[in-house]
Amino acid sequence: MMRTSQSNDSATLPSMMRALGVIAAIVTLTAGGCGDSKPEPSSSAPVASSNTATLVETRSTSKTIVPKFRMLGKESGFEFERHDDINGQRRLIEANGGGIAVFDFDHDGWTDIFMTNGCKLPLSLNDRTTPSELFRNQSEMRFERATSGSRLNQFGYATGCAVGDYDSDGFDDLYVAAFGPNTLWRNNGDGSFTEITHETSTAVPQWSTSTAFADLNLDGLLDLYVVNYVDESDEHPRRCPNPASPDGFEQCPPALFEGVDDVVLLNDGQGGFLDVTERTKVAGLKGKGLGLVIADMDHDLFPEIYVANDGEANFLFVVNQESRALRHSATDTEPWVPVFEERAAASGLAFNEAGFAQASMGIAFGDVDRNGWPDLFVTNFFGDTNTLYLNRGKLAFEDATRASGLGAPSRDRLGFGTMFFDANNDGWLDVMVANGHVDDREWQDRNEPYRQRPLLQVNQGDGTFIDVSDLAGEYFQQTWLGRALAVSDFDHDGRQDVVVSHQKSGAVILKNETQTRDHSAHITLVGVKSVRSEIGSRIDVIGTRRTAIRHSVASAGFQTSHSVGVTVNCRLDERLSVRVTWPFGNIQDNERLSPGRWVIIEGTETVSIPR
Amino acid sequence: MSNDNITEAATVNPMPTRSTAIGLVLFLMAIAVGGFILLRPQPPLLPASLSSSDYSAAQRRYVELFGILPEHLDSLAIAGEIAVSEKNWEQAAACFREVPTNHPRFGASARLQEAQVLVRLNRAADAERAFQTFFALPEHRRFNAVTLAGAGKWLNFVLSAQLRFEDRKRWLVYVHELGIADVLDSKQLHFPNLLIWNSPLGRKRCNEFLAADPGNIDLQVASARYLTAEGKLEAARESLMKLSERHPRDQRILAATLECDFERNDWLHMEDVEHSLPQFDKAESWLLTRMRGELAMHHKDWSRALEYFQQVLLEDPANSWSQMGIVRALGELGRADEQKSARAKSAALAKIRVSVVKVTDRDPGAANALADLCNAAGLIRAAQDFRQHARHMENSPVNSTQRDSPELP
Repeated sequence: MMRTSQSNDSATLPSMMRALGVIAAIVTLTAGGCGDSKPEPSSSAPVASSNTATLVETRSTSKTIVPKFRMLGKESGFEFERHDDINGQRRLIEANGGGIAVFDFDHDGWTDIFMTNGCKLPLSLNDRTTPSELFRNQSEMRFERATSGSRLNQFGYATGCAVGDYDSDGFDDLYVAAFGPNTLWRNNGDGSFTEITHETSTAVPQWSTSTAFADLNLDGLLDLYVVNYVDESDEHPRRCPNPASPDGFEQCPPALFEGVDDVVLLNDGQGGFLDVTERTKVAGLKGKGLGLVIADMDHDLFPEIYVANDGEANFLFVVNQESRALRHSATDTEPWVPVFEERAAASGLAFNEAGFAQASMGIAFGDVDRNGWPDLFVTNFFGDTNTLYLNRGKLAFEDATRASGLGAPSRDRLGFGTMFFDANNDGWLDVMVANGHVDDREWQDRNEPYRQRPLLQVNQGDGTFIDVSDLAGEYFQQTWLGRALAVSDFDHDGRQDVVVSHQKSGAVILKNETQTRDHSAHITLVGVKSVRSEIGSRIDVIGTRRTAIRHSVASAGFQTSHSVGVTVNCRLDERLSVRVTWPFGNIQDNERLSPGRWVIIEGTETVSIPR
Repeated sequence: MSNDNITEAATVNPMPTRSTAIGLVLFLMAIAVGGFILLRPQPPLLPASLSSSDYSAAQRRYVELFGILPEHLDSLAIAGEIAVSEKNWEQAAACFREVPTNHPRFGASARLQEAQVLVRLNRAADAERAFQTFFALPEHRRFNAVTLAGAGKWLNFVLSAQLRFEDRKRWLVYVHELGIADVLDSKQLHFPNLLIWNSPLGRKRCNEFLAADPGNIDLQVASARYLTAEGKLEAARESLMKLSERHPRDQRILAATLECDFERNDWLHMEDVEHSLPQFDKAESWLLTRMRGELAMHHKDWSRALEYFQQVLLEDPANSWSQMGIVRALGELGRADEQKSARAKSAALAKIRVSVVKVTDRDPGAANALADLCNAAGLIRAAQDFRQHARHMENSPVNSTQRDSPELP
C-alpha cells in the first residue's frame, strides 16, 4: 500500500520521538478510488437522504450539483460575535474584522474552532471584557466554549491567527496576530495553552493581519511569517471628517496610510524565534498586507510567500538562487536564512489583467483547473472584481478572471475571506467568498450596500464557475458583513462545512448538506523528517484521467489558518493512489486507499482511522 | 321730379349737414384711435413661464444695476438670472433661450448660463451645445478665470457622465491652455482610465440624462458601459444588441459591444463584431482601438496588437490596459528586454493610480510626489502640470478656481 522513495535532499533528522507522537486522527473514508470527472446525472438513488440533489444545467454537458448549506443555530453551542469597537468614528481599524483558526487542539479527532476578538480602544484601556474564544468540537455539530478551561486567555484587538506545531511536540500551537503586540500560545498537550510570547520573542508590535507557520528554511521546524498592514496610531487614530456623514466621519482610504514591513521569525530550534526580516530581504518594501499564502507553488521544494497588499502591488517572495546554493552550508549553530527576492510583477501576480493594483484582502489557494499547479484567487473591493490567477508552471501566472466567470458576480460586492474547497464533492475545487463593505456608505446614496450577500461559485470543470448562491441555502440569501472564512469537515460526514465570522452579527457554521453520490477521503500527514504537521506537503491523488493536487498550506483566506489535513473527492467503489511529496522532497506513494480518513506518516505507514 | 320734391329736399338739408359733421368727427376720431393703437409700442412677448410681474421685476433690477431702462432682451437676461437664484430652472432656460448669442451685453453669458441650467434639467446634449457655443465666442475670454473654470467643469461633467473621454480631453487641454486647470482637471486629462469612472454617482447622472433624452446614442452607450462595468453583462449585452440593430455601423456601439463581449469572454461574438468594424482610423475612440488590440492578441497577431496598444497610448499615455497589452504582446514576440521596460511602466502606472487619490488642491507634497512618479513613468507633461500645481499651492495657499460645480462623478 505504501512505497517511499528518498529524495536527494537531506536535512537534519528530527527525533523518531515525533513518529511516536502520531496523532490518532479520526478520518472516515466514505468512498474508495478517485474519480476525476464530474458526477453524471444518475438514475440511481443518491446517498441516502430524504432530500434530492439540486442540479443546475450548465455549459458543460453534465449537470452541476449545487452545494447546500444549512446555518446552524444556537443549539450547536457555537455562539460568537466579534467586538470591533465600532463607535462612529469610522477608524480604519474598525473595518477588517477578525480571524479564524480551525484545528484539533485536544487531539480528540474533531476539528475545533478559534475565533479572534477585538476590544475597546485604545489598548491602554486594557479592556478584558471581550476575549477571543476557543470552541471545542464535541462531534455531531455540537460545540462547547473551551476558552477558560484551556486557559487560552487572549485579549486585546486580535486580528488573524496561525496554527502550527512549532515545537514539534505533536500538538498544534497558536499564534495570534493583533493590532498591537501579537501573542504565541503553546499547546501543552493537555487541553490547555500557555502564553510564551516574551520568551519566544514573537511579540511583533505593529498592526498585524494574516500570519502563518511554515518551514521557510527547510530545517524541519516551523517558522513564522507575519503580515503587517499600515501604520496607524492606537491613541490618536487618523480620522477623516465629513460633515455630511451621520457620524461626522467617513472612513479614511488606506492610501492615506504608510505601509509597514512584514516580519519573518525563524524558529531557532531552542524554543524561540529569531527576527530575520532584514536578512531575508523582505524588509524595506512596506506593503499593506492583508492576505497570505505560503506554499511551494512551482514544485521546487522551496516555499514561496504570496502577500495580498491593499491597493498596492501584491508580493511574491521567492528564494533567490544564490541563497539556495548556500542552504547546505547551514550548521546547527548557524541556520540557513533564505534570502528572498520579490517577483510578483514578473510572475503576473502583482496586478490584475488591467495592470491595476487591487484592494486584495483574502486569498484562496488550490489547483482549480487540475493542471497540477496550484492557483490563486484574491478578493477585492466593491466595483472591482475578485481575481483568479491560474498557475501555468514555473511561477508564471495568468489573470483568468474573465474567462472563469468569477469576476462579474463580484463587482457589486466587497470580498474578504475566501476558500477553495470541493463543496459538492465532484472532484473540482469550488470557491466561496464572504462579502461585506468596510464602511457604511448608504448615506451617500452611492448604491454601495453595507451588508452584502456571500458568493458561492461552483467549478464546472471546464475552466468556468457558476454562481449558485441563490440555491445554496438560507445563509446565502441574507446580507452580512462577512469577514474571515474557514473550511473543515466538522462532523466527519465527508462533506466540507464552513465557518464564517462577521462584523455586527454572530459568526455562523454552515453545515454542508449537499446530496451527492460521491464521497471523500480525508488525509492527515504526520512528518518525521519534515515538519511534524502537514504544512508544506503536497498530495497528488492520481485518478484514471487527471490528477488532483492538494497542497497543504497553513494559511490561506483572510486572517485564517487551518491545520486539518486535505480532503479529496472520490467515489465509493474507487481506490485512491495517493502520492505525498514531503517538504524535503521525499516521495511516499500509497496505493488503493479506500474512502474514509487516513493518516500518512512520513516514511513509515499509512493508517486508516475508523470513525 | 316735381317742384314739391325740390322744396322737401331744401327743407331737409340743415339736418344732414350736422349728422355728417358728427359722423365725420367720429370717423376722424376712430382713425386717430386706430392709428394710436397700431402705432404705439407693443408689449413684449414673454416666455410662457415668465409672468409679467416677474418681467417687471427684472426690468426694475436692470435699472438698479445699470441706471438705464432695459430693452426687452436685457430684461429677459436678468429674468433668467433671477430664476436661477430661485432655482426655477425651466423658467431660467426659457429666458436665456430668448437672448440671442450675438446680444452685445448678454449673449455670451446667456449661453453659459443656459448651458448650466440645461445640465440641471438633465438635458445633456442641449447643454453641451450651449457650452460649445459659449466657448466658440471670442468674448468668452473676457470672463474671469473663476467663471471659465466653472464653465469648463460643467462641460467636463456632462462629458464625463457620458464616458466621452476623447471629447473631454479636448476641453481639458483647452482648460489647461487657458491656465485655469485645477488638480482634478489635470487628473482627468492625464489619467482618464486610471481614475474610477464606473462610480455609482456617474451611473446615476447618466441615467438622469438618459431619462430626459432617451434617444441619445451617447447616453445609451454609456448606460450600457456602466452595466458592463457593474458586472451586469447580460443586461449590457441586451441593451447593446438592441442599439446595434438600429445603428449597425455606429462605432460607439461597436466599441461598447466589444468591451462587453470581452468581459464575457465571448470571442465568437467579438469576431462577428470585428467583421463590422470600419478600417482603423487614428481618430476613433481609444476603447475601439484597444479592443482591436485585444482581438489581434486573440488572433495571435502580436505585432498588430502591439501597434494598436501603442496607438492608444499615444492618445492616453496612462492607459493601463493597453500598457499591459504591450507587456503581453512583447512577451509573445520574445522581446524580453522591452517587455521588462514595459512591465516597469505598468508598475509605475499602478503606483500612480494609487497616488492620485492622495493628491488634492491643498497638498503640494502629494502633487510633487505624483509628479515624480509621472516622470518615472515617462509622463512628462503630466509631471509638469502637477509640478505646477504644487508650486501654485506653495505660493498661493488659498485655492481655487472652482465655482458652483455640480458634484462630479
